[in-house]
Amino acid sequence: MDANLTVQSVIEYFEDKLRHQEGAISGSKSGSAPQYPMMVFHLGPCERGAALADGLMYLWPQFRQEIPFLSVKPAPGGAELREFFPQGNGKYAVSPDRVDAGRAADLASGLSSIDRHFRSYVKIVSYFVIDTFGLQDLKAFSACLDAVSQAQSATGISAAMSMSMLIILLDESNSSRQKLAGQIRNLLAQNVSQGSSASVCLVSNRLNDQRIAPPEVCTSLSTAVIAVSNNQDAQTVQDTFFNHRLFTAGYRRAEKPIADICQFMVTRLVNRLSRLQTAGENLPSGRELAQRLGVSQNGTIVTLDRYVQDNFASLLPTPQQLELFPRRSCADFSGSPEAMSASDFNEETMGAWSAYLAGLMAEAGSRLELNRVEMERLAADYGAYLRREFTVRELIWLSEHGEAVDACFASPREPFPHLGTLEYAGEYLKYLLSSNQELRALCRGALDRACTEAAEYLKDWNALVGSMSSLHPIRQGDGFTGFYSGLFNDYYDKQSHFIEDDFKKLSSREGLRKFFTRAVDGMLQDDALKNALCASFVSELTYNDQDDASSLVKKMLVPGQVPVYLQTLFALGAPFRSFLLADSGSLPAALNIPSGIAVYDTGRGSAVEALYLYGLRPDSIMFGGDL
Amino acid sequence: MRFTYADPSPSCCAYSLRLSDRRDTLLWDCTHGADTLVLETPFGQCATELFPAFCEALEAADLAADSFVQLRAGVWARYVSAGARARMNGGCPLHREACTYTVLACEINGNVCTVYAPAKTNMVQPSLDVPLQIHVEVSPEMRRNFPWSHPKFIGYFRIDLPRAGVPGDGTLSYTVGGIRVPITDGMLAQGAVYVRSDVPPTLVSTNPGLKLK
Repeated sequence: MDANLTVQSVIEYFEDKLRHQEGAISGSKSGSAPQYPMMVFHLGPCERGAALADGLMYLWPQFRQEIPFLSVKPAPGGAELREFFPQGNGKYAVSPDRVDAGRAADLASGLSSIDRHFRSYVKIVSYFVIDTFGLQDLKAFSACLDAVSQAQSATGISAAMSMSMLIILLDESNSSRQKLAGQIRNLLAQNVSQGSSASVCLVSNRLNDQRIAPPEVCTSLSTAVIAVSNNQDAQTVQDTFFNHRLFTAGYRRAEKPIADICQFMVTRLVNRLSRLQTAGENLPSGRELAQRLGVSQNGTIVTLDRYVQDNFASLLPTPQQLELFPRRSCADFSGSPEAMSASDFNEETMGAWSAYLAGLMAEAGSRLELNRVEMERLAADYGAYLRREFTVRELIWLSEHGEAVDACFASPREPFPHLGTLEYAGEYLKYLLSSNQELRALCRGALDRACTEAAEYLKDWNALVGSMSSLHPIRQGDGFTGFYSGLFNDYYDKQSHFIEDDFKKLSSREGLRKFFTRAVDGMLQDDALKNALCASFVSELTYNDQDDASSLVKKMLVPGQVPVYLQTLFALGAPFRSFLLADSGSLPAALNIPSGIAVYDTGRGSAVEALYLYGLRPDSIMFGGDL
Repeated sequence: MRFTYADPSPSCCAYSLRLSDRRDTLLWDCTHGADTLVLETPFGQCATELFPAFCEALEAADLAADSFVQLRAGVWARYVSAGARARMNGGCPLHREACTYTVLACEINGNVCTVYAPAKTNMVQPSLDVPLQIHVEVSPEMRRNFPWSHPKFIGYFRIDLPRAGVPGDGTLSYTVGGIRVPITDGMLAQGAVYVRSDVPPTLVSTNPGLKLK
């Protein structure tokens, strides 16, 4: 979570955890795997290249070490190659170091190594994704095509083994961008007409229904194209996808609304907890306040007393050892030494008891004085006690009533000598420790710190609640709200005792952060909630719509219902290949998938994607407008 | 009275601190008419280095009494004027043994007492270690139940302590049954004390000047 705790940061944490868990559950089985060894080259903004790598590795996590991803940047002296590598969190990032020709060749030759897990090694597939969103002119695009050739030659893969595909993402957001896209289209049409060696998949952000898709969706589409084009149908892969083909895609993706689910859960939790924040508290003064502050009747600090009890009680003599003290004659003491008052016992032992005690106190005192770290730890223990004992409002009250607190923190009193011998000794040790001015100041400082933290905490809490106003409303149906509301209420009713107790003890910013971490983790550990949250997309639809989930998927099975990511001069024919990308196990049994649509098993139940691939004639991609 | 510690002065110094033949009197020499301050410190600790730390305690002490007064645990002081020293045949009675004595010349002017540090030469000898060797008898207490029966141990040990010279500051103690009980002035004044134990107590000295025979 961020340094500034907001509802958004809690939602992000929840989303991250849920996606992780969802991946673990829905992705417990592997989906389809790539047929041939492959390399992916990305030309464009690195973050989208990383997203492409993330998307593919979400499908094929087992190939994380086997498929190289390279960022390619056109440069005057030859294309600059950089490797994308998985970070600690599993997300890809680009390396700052350049990959030289030798390393590129190593990566390519490593693809055919016997320890790889591809099904066939007769071909090596190279994907070049050119993201034209940032390009300024046609010259820059031409430089990209040159860079593609340079990168290809750097790998040293023989032409006989190589199969290449160019995936070109066009930016047709506005008229000026459309002009450049038009120049690119015309150049491609010309190249393809002249017999380009690679297949070209042309994807535009302007859909055939005039809507504009964000670049991220184009990247998802590219991921799907790469996945299906290197599939297990070895017979058709080459002919279908890599035979100098020019094609575009119709694409639709329906995803489980994980972000909305997380937002719903977190806001519900915050709303419930807000009710627990009570108005300002008043505390009693005098003895009662001192008692709550952990100050004993003698003025000693109870946390320190406990420390004395735990660590120094062993220094005191046992009742049997008291018998070993000297006496004036061979006779019993006038009473049991343990029960005698300290002053009487001292008198009967000719001052030996006082001298013994003084030595013991000196030893205990020197031990404590020497150990500053221990003193700070004791003060921290006291601070922890205060945070447990007082609510946030009470701590704020304490900070506003310093005099009442100071009165409780007056110097401790020496124990009365009429106490029993050992009791007196024990009390005296406590008095000695609590009299340590430095330690007392540290404890008072711990109280001040707890009060400051409480004020900060309240500010943070209010900021957290306030941050809910910047959330977009959840646009889901009543079924969603009803389903997740029921789930949350069941969970909260079951766990409210623990959650609310935990929440009431909070008094610091760090505590609040940890609380939400615990709360989110707790939700994901609850079996009922976890099963619902981690259910596949299709199951989730069934739950929350309480309707036939297959209806949504059925719509995706009709090519006309799925937008095409390119506007062409001439009407497109029927798709030459159609895919439904989904976790095959989570698809409704009643779903009647037409024979022309292949199911690509992603092994991931969080989304369903429909991909229709349409062949293009070069003249149909020509730009019809004015350049 | 305010005390200051001044550099050595040839016109006001005390030296050659020693014990009388009977080991009951401290004797020293000093320049004519010089008053002196005798300091008793734990065995082996010379007061010349520590003196500045004693000034505050000296200011609070009543030095008019013709005896040693305690400044702090283990540290005692006695002011001996030139006249008093002359009356006591060049010194003053020994206070205790198993400790170190230091004599320093001083000069009183109004409300200020200037104490002069001794000259740093081997000839001066302002300090004197007074060791003590004692024997402490620990014996089991035996009784006869009947005049003709053998004496039987009754569960007590008797410790016979020397009545004088031993500091009752806890540097001498006995250990028994896992505890260490300090010997106090009250016990020394008693002479013999009894400890109820099945094993004899062991006397221990943490004072290097106090040797047990």
